[in-house]
Amino acid sequence: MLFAEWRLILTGASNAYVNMAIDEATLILMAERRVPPSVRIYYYDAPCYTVGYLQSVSRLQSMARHAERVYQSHGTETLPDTLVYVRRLTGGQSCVHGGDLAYSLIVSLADTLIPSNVLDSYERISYGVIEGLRLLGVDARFAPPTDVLVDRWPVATAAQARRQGVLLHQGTVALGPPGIKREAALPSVMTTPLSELIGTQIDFEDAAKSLAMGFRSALGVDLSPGILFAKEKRLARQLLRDKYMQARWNAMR
Amino acid sequence: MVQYAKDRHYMTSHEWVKLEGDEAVAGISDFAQHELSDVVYVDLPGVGDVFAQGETMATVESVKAASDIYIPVSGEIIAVNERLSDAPQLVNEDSFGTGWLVRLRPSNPEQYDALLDADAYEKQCQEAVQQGGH
Repeated sequence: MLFAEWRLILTGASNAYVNMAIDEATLILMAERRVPPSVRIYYYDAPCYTVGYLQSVSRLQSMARHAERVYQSHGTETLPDTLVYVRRLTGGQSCVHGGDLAYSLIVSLADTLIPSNVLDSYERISYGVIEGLRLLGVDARFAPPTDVLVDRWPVATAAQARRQGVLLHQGTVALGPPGIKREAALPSVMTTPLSELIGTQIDFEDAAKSLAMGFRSALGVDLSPGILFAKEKRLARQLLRDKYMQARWNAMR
Repeated sequence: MVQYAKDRHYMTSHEWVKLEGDEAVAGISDFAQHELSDVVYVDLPGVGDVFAQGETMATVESVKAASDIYIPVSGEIIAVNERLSDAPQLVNEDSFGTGWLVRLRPSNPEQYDALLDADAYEKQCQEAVQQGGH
């Protein structure tokens, strides 16, 4: 173990670009051993998609060009809705966000609290989600390799990046419906909103607190409330401007 | 049973490199492919790309995990394993053979000697398993 104490950061609602920029800033500083292991819990301020690091968005691009041509030739009254998406550092398929609580766990791969084996690490971290849901009165179970189920419905999933000696594990817990329809041109992971299963909407703040307690318990770490460091915010702003808001990153495949 | 090929050297981050005359072949170790589980996609560099030792040369995706792969010695890429675009599972099935990633022309072959030999690398992996992490 490198750090006895982990940092808990609650950043509330931000847009997709900002959320991805913060995660990479923390990852870079983690690789330089300038921040402690961190769990960040957050949500999205508007419906959007995140797409996997190696995922192609070419079908989405051609669809957007077609919609633009239709708009220009037929002069419809409103521009077609533009789908907001951002490319993640983590693998897998796209994920729709909006009604979900998201979390990112960022830790050195040398930290022995998280197994280096990919499958084992998903399981270990997912038990934090399961414990968090239990504290909210929801019985859930791990479904290998990456999902958490309530009954037979996947309510949470995750993806990872392993770079510069650091693990970035990004997860999502579907509390409510995302507010946009699933985009057929973009293969996506399927989650079922908890609100549809338990008949009530869980408050974001309550869910965030329970998830934090779940990670404390399941990982056995001292998770101390903290904030993003100034150097982290500066780096995130730079990544936001130079990378995550740029088509050359988001549409690179 | 994890294999440790004796005829090549290793990075602590689990890449191997094997010298073949003026050229070298590189890939990831059997231990690494076990840790990654089923490889579903390999993103390889372009022929002609030049890397310094330790730079990211490829990305391997397995179980929704995108993992960087580092180049064990500095040099220019002279070939990539085209079979992996249709058969990424070769990395799992034969990581020391048909699952190779790149062929390169080393610019500083002495770097090879400073890497771990198979015995030292095996010791590192066994210690990591005992500690429960890397």
